[in-house]
Amino acid sequence: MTPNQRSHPVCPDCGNPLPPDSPQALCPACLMRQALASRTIGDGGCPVTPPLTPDEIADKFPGFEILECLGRGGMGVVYKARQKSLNRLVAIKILPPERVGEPRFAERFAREAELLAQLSHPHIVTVHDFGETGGHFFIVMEFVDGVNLRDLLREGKLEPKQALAIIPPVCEALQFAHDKGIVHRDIKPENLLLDKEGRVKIADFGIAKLMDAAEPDGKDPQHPVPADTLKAGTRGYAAPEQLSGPADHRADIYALGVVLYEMLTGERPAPDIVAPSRKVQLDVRIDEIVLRAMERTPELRYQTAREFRTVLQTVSGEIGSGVTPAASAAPAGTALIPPDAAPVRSPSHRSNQAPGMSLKSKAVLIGCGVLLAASAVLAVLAAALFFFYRPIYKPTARETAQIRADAGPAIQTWLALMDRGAYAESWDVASDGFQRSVARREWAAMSAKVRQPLGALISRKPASSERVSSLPGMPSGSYLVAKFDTSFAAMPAAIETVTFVLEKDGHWKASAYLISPASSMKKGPISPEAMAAVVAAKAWLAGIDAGNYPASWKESSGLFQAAITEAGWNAALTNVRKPLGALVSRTLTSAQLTDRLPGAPDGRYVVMQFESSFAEKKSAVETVTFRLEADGNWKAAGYFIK
Amino acid sequence: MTAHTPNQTLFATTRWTLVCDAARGVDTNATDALGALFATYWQPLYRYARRKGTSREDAEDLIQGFFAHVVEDRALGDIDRRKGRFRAFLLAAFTHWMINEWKRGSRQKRGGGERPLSLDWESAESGLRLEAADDRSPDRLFDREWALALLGKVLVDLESACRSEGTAVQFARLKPCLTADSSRIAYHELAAGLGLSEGAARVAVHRLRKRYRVLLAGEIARTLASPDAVEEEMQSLFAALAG
Repeated sequence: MTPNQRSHPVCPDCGNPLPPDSPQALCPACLMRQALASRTIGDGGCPVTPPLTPDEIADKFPGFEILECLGRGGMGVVYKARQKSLNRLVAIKILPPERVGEPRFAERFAREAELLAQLSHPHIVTVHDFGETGGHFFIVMEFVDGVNLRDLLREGKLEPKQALAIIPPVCEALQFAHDKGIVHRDIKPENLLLDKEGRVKIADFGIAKLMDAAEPDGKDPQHPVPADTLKAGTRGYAAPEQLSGPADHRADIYALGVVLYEMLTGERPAPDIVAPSRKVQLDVRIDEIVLRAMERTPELRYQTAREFRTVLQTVSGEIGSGVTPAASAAPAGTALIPPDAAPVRSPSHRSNQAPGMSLKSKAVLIGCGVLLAASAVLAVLAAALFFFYRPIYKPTARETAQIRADAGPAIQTWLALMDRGAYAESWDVASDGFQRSVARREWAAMSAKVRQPLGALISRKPASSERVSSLPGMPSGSYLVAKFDTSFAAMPAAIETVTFVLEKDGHWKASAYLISPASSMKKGPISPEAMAAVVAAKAWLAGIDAGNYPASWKESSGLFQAAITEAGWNAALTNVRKPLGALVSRTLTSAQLTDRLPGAPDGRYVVMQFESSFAEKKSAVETVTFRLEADGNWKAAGYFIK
Repeated sequence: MTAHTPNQTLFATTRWTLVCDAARGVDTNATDALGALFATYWQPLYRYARRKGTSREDAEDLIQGFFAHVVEDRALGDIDRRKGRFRAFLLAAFTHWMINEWKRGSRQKRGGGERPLSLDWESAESGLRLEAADDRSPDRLFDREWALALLGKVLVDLESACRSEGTAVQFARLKPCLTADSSRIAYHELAAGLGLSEGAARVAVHRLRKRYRVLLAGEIARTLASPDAVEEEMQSLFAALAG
């Protein structure tokens, strides 16, 4: 093939060789893929179409140079502008004209805005000026050069540490305003701005109230309020009491609780709230804090923003310093929730419990951090994913000609069959190779055993997709390996790996399917019991390093031997392990004990991860699963190099 | 790179169909705009001609002649605009042009030796030399190079925007994030390298990515007759790159 394969730089993201003409030494395919991925999650990257262009409003603001429209929301349109006299950048918010039509609005507006202008706090967007021009009510504010929290959340949930760091300054600012009798009433990610230094600032203080006051009965048949905007507040973030009547500062605490929940989990709480720690790896004490802030009854929430902040900082301080309570010490992390576990009840239902005591006992987790989907599913899905390794991509002429259609819709359709329980049907539309490797009835039975207990699909988000031309154990062809962050009723954080192949008839068809718990990459403490497995695993790996492949198969567990034949195993190692060359270093990064692996019989398992370096591949991750056998020995049940 | 003319902002938002229509009139701005559009995308055409077996000199002449033809001739309207993609249009028009030139056998130097475009032929050639034996068709390669030219332009625009804001160093450090899944970005390390807080690094990365996407979508839209097709074009460029 290409003569100079030796030391081609490789894209760190897709692993394919970087073409010599890559712009700025960045992988062109990944550049395009990232742009595409972001479009599918709703950030079109398209500029907002302002109702009035900057030019159109320029003559209304002679003291300002209107630069661009920053965005629009239910509470008006915001422009970036330069204030000529002071040569400073400002943001000008123009309130929606349809909602300021009534006679005494001007008076109220002046009164409120004056109050807001007094809110001088490092974590509150400063109001510089306000007024009315040509029938437009406007507020001139500090320009925050940054993004809002919603933008950040579009790229996925935040690390718990970051999420927890954002709340205390917001609490400080809220407390400051609440002390002056000012309630925000519309706390949501859109109103929390992060500047270039990462500092958070609350925007739009009091605007919700102002706009609400413009319509005393909250109804205006001529100008209906946007569907997601309540009388004051935004659906999803507004406290329950805001729906029905007057709300005080505790509504802000509720909304901030929702924001924290969303930062931690990437989604807003469902009506039946699931504790955040069941969606992400998190200390259960954080659950406690989030759920308390989101209590339906204001009296059960933190009564002040200060209290909220103090509790949060105390707990995050302890987590940061490694102090861990007994309840969460044992197996670090979240993984499998038993299928029969009921969701955490909605906070209002536990209002008779003492605050601070409700969750800890309930949230004891079964299973633990690192799990690798091994055996049963893989037994049928061929050793390919069991032993997944990305080769250098070398497209053939035939393949390039075939590459056209997008596999996306085919994957969605196929997964929908699995979700519906139409397992046999999913076999019918799978690839030839798939159908050859497993009989229709076997597949249906296997799926019923593995997929069915996970329960209904809650959500599924694309996480990554990669094109590869060959997978070990499979004929070369055009493959798409797509990963999804999926939530099933009985496994809230799972990763689905779906491999599709472009068939000769030009259709993408399923060639492999794997479900594993999402926390499989998390690190955690190693228990003495797990250490026994680690010792066994190191010896087993050493045998493989020495090239003694047949022995490694013979020394593995029955489960392993059922999943792959000795010849298949030898071939897989020859194709995948051998080219990596001699072992340079191997460091254990995690070892987790668990009683359950999806698709595998219950038993005692340890899943270990090693960061390894080989002569021909500097950085690899080896995942090794060992099972405690009836004879009391730990034996290999899975091996995975990436 | 090509010099940035004062009209750049004008045509940055102008679709190629409008530019072509205007260029056929007397609007010299539009001719400049078309020249700029052409400046971004001529290399894939040149290499296409070279791959089709045209000699280096002939390929240069073809490109020069083709541009004059695009600007001057009324012939543009005759060609099917292929669902409004500049990429498809340009290749179709160029192929057409090559064939006609061949038939006429009149590959005379144009403009009395004075070339309407100053193009970096060397760079176009070195791109060809770097190429390993490749059995993909010239048409497929054209699409791939088109995508590379487009991405190259977007990144240069992004870089120069950053430079004018004094954040060139930050751009250099953060640009690898443009290809990474956000879950894979080591914000901590980036923050340390730039002397920022982790939160600030996250904000900076987000802004850069967002800006990149806006520029990319804008550049793609420029090559389409309708903005609705941006996503579709992005998909096909991705397919061309991934293949």
